[in-house]
Amino acid sequence: MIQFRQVSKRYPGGYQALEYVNFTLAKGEMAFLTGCSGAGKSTLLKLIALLERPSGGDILINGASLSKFKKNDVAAHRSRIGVTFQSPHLLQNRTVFENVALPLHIQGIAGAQLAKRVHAALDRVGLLAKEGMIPLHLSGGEQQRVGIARAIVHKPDWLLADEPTGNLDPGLSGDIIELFEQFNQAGVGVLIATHELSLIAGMQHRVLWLKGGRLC
Amino acid sequence: MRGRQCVKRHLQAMKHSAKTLRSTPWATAITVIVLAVTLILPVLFWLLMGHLKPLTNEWREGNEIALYLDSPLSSANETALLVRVRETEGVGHATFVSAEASLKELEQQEGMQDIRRYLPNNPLPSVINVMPASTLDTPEKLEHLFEKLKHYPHVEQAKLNRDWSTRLYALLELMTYLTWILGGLFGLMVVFIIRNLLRLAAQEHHEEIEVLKLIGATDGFIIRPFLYTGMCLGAAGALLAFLGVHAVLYGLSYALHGLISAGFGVPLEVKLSLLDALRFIGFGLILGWLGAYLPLKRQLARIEPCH
Repeated sequence: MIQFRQVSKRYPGGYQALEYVNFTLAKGEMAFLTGCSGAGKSTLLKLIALLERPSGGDILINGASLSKFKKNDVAAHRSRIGVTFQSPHLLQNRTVFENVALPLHIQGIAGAQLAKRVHAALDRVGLLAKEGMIPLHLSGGEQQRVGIARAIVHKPDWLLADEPTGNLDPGLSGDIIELFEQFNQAGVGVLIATHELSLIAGMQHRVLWLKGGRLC
Repeated sequence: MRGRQCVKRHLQAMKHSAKTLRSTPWATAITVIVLAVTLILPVLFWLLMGHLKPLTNEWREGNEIALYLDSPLSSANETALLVRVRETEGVGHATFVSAEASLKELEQQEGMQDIRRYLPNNPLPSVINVMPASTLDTPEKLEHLFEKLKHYPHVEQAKLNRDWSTRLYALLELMTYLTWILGGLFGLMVVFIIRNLLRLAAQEHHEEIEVLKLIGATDGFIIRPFLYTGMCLGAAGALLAFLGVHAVLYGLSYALHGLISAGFGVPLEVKLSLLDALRFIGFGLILGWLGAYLPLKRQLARIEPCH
């Protein structure tokens, strides 16, 4: 469960990205976070991933306050969530397989078990045949899917996606959202930040609207 | 289970480090050679110092203390004094030479055969020759023993030839000090070489480190391959230095052979054992670890994932 309690975020320089945000996401829930550019969507995801710290309020994950997390707790917290961005941040000097295997390496998983799980993740995103390629030789949509495979390979509790379809054409965007729904059906909580309202239209999931750093 | 996981992680890091080193064989080889060259000089000094150490035993033998006794002295007093000297702390062994024996020894020298004819009585005193114990390994300790024995009853005069031994000891002390300084400086140099190399490597992998942190890697996980790389380079450099020292010593003993057979110099008998090789490698490992850990720990703390 993710709980935001009166969370505010002011960046150095005075920019107020979030103001008194309150919401709760139940375990295994899928939700969209939307709003126009600068509304605070990315900041909110960064706060959950502990890439930023709130200026006020508190964030609780399964009842534990993120503000009390020490350095090693941060690493452990990040290894329990999967994060994917508009730019998938893949390592260009490693193959698709090696990129996806990274979270498992961190958990100390190796050998046959690692290969099995990486193959399963790549199969889910339809890239099993391209495991030996380097990301540079893949299309934007394929790179995005490699990023998603890396985000889910270690079976995280939550999957956070920041504009995951920002660089993709509408057809591919639909495929990616469908992938997220499949993960959600498998029990992974999903929070997708997007400004594309067309993606949300027709979806049965909860939508969190942000405007000027406040939830509407 | 936790232990096995830990071993697995270390094996993973070792593999990663080996892969990195293999991917740049020339750069790795050049680094190892530079490290070896840096280590050879202090190691040579250290070994030669070890070779010179036995000289300090020789100077101890040259530091015999002669105690000239009152004349005349009763046989009972002579014996009592000899026992007391022998029981004194710091005395290795002591021998008594009577006045008569000294005169006989003098007579055996050329031109002295009929010396008794010119002397109304034996002017030579009885002597106790004292060889200091091996524990007296500094001129100060020797001086202390000398002062003590000098003031024993019935000792008329005492003599210690200390000049050359003091100079030799001071020279050896200076060389030992220089060896440590050189060792320290060159060791520091090795640490700095590895430090700069790995700092650059970490800068090159900046993006990778950001991604790793983003997906939950701890600093320990990220730093481990760098540590193994540093340790590998340090150990390989030390091993090469060990072989280099072997080659230098072999060349030196060959070059000295001619001089020794002509009656100059002392034979160079510095032998390096397997234990020495292990010590070298251990030293290299420590330097490599220091070179990697100290700068990277701080550098990693400064890198935070952003997007």
